[in-house]
Amino acid sequence: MTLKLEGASYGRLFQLTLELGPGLHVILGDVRDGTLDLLQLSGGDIAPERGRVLIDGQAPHHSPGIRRALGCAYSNAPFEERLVRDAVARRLAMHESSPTPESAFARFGFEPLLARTSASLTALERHACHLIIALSISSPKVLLLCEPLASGLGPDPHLILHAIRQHAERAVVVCTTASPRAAALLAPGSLLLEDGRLKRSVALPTRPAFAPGASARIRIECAQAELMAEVLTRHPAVSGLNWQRGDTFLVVEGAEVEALSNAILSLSVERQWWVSQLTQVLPDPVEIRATHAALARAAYEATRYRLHTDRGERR
Amino acid sequence: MTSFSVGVNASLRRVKHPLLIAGIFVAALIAVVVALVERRLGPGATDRTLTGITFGLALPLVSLSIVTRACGRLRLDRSFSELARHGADRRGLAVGQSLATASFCAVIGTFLGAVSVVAARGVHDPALLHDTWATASVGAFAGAAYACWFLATSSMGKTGAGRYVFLALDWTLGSTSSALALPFPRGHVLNLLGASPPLGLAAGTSAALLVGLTFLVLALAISRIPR
Repeated sequence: MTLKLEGASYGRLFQLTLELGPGLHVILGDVRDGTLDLLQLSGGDIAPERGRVLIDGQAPHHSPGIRRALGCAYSNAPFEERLVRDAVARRLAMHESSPTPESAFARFGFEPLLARTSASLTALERHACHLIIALSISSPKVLLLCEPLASGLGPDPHLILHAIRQHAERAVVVCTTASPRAAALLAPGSLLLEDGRLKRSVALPTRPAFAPGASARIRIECAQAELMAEVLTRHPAVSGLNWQRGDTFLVVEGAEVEALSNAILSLSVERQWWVSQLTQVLPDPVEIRATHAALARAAYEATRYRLHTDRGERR
Repeated sequence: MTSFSVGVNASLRRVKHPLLIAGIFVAALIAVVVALVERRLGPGATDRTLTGITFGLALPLVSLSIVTRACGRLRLDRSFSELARHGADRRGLAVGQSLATASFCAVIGTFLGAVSVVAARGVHDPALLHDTWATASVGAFAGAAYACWFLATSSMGKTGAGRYVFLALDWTLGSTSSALALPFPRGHVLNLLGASPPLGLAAGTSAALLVGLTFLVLALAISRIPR
């Protein structure tokens, strides 16, 4: 089971070549980067202007059979049917899926939605419905999900995550998100899509991995934040610290996530300061994009400088 | 559940919009009022009503509204993209959509034609029954033909704006009696109603040409839609 894009161009995407096998693949980027174009191309909504998109050797745009084996949740298009139950039942029937709308929605604790009219659904609720339909398809070949862990979606994110991981064992699951935090929750690795091009893959969901050159940051919630801040400022793993008087949290900065985490946990155990929450501060997409732009600029300048020196035109 | 039946059901659900139904009744009301005014003006009221307001203005506009609604203001191939995403065959959907829309427009054409004749002739006219039957059948043909042409031309333009261009061309070129009127339904419909025929064609030839061209154009448009 493979999803293959061969030099596919459409909208923001520029000659994208990608081959994905079974497993969970997270693509970090937003609509401006071409995530929606990528999902629409893979789902057979549109045909590429150039190149090819193939799922198991067949183009989804021209094959209803392949599309029947796809689970797509990347639009919040309104349902035509009056009742949500009818809309869900019809779509599940089209996929030849066994679960009833009730059992599919009950799995995610979302069955009250079935009794409502389609017109009364908000955009987020519609997205949640499409997501549940996609995740309820029995043995899909490919799942194409946009922002599956979006906040305010409705269903419990842990249940969604569990269902996604179950499908990922047999199918190609592609999740796109604009949130580095959601990307980190979904899978350890992600692909960075920027301006229609896949820039690189990130193996670990840390701040230095997403934005090379940036230091790692950890946010600690602790009742003894003041004392902890005082001790951590002297720790060799900590290069920076942010804490304000009265706050019950502090943000520490260092070169490595592991070293920072070890420092915090050792301190917590040693001094019996209970840490209620420990979270990584990941960069936002703007910071990631800015880092990439700076890296590209630096690479360009370095190449130009080398060319000049090669020609003996040292400035 | 086949894509064809999904297309039929979804199209009928779309066209059963209260605003659209209200619009159809308003169009019928206007046609009736014009027919009553024409009747007061003197003989030939039926011809003037049918070739003017009913089949010249109301039916094309109503058919355009129905097709626009059935296509969801999109191109023909994109009008059911949400269902196609779930594995429905786009061509099957389009065939179902065409059948549902053409049938609905045929019914509207019959209705508009019948009420216009009744209003223009009056209920005591001895030729009423015969004329109503003849007009209703022309109305059914005209409604279905307009629906098919609007559906076919919805494949042009990013959002299916081809249907609006077609309406403009139908109004400007279709009402002439030159060869330019041949591809448009208006000239043939007027011919079937007894007005001056395009290129002097007989009514039977005009009807055959109308049906043949309509099916050909629609079949071409549907065959271009990816599955």
